[in-house]
Amino acid sequence: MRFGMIGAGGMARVHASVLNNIPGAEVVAFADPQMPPAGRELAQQLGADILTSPEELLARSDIDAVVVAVPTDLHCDLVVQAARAGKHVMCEKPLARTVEQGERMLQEVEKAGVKLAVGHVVRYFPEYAAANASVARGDVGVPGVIRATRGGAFPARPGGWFGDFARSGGVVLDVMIHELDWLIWTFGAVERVYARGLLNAGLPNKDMAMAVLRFRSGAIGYVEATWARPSGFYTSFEIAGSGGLLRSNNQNTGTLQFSLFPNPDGTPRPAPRGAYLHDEPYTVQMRDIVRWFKGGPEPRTSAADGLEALKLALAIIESIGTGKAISFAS
Amino acid sequence: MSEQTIRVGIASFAHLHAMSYAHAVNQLEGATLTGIWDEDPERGQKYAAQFNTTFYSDLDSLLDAIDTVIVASANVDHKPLVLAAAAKKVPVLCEKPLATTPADAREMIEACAKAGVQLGTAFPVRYSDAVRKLRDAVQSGALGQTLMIRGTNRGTYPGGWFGQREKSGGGAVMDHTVHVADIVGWIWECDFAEVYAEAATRFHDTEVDDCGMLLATLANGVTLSLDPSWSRPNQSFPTWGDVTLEVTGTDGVASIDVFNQNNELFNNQTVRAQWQNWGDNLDYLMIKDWVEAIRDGKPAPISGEDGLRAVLLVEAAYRSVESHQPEKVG
Repeated sequence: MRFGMIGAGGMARVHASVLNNIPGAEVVAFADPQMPPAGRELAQQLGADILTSPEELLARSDIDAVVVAVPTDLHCDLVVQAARAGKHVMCEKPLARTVEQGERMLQEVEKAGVKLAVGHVVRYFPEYAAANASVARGDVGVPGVIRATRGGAFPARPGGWFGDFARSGGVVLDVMIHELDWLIWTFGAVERVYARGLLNAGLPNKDMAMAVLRFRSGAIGYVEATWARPSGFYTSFEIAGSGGLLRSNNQNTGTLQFSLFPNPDGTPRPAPRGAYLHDEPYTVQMRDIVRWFKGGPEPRTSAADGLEALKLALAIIESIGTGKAISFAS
Repeated sequence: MSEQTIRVGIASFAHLHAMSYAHAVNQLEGATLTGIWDEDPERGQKYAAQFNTTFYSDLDSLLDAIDTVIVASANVDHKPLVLAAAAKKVPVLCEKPLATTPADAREMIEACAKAGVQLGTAFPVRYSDAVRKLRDAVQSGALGQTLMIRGTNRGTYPGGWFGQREKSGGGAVMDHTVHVADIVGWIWECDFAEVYAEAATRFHDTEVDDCGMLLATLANGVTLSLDPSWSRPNQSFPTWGDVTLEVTGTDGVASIDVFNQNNELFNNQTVRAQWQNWGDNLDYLMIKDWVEAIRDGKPAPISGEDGLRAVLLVEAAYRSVESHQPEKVG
């Protein structure tokens, strides 16, 4: 299956590298009007064509499927164009910037008879997948209180768009949505949400949000996402139930750590490659997606799941803006 | 690469790792679990039913029906089973420790070499991503020159034949020296020169040592400390044990904790906290590599000689326990 990459930024490069290692899949072209040097380098390494416009890429009949990994506000138009060109689409999360866009994307792919996958990769992170299975097995009894946190430093990039709320939706739509998808997957639909955050605090290159959820099951949830740390990347969850407690924290689960003396000239010595897993989550996710595009079973997250997480994230943003709790109609 | 399905047999379920290996074979595409032989027919029939395969009461009949055999018996039975496999020209993957004496290990290596079949030793820890990345870091010189290494392979008491000297050949030092010895030998590509060891029975009512401590010197002069004790409390410890390594080099320190990827579960029914490991299934990765080597006619990924290197360290350690002085290895 021949893939075209729409976008050549950080996530596009992750997906392209992963695709290149999946038997039966190959990346044949990249299209990015602002092709970054690292994108150009990877394209050359993979022997993929470098195109200037998505239109050019979508017009090619030798491309079966595309990965859309561009700023969030552009997802809808490009996914719709890809669908109309008859390509299957893997779209980076969040599905879209607005509910209207997300709904339009689902309608258009259905009309075009193509498949749309959304990259909610947390379902493929083994600690989150194992926790989902553990809850389903009843290891904690009936879930009562669920806490989940995620975040680190603000993703500052030259020409970056993450700090532009109109484009990214801030830390809630870009980061917290990971937890929201996992929470809905594991604990079911949410009835009500109230949230506070730094969205309107006027702090450049910082954002943080805290949300209280009430699930339809009666369980209470707390979700926190941050772009206000100086460095690092932190995730944790805790599920307290009638019969037990399940928890995980990425600060406690490392398997390889380095602590190096500086170079003789006083410059810091770069740390060697870290360790994680034999099959890292982006690979497992993409393998599922490729298999689905080829007629196999659906991956763990559907486009409809992506839309549900989007609705919840936007309700959290609305609550931060209005200071009111938001209830969902059943 | 051929598409041939490799027929796998398991000789004895005395060692509980056999369960994990049987699962791995059943998960693998391109391999089938053809049958199980066991010196205890009741146990063999039970596991044959559980893993949906055939119980063979006659070892040679199983060996005639398979392409490779996994030996997972009590330690002292490794030798006769490996020799039986060699006599039938069946490649054999043997549970660790390869043998209880260097003389036995050498006899097994020679028999397999003469028969022209691969002999492998089951050291799954080599398949840990952390171990592999540490090896890359050490071999690329990222830590400078290695000075000292601290290792642990502590565990709970396995009970059963592990506590019977005529079946196990020794206790914690026999059981838990070899994993760390193997990864150290593999990372530094070096044999052991000398070892000082203490051993004792302090925790359990057993005729073998249940704890010990080794200070070994590699042929390159580097010191390795190694704790192989069955010192994790059986009733309350949240997991079976650990494999850790900390490397101090002239340019810095690296630490690995191979089984640290856990969700923590506290459940009122079991009282004891449980670590649910979500890391890679190292047994699966090892069996997959072994089956592919057999299919492709390649050398054993982890050889009998590798197994012998660890057995030599164990044998010298027990000599040191008696002499109260460091002993030459080999």
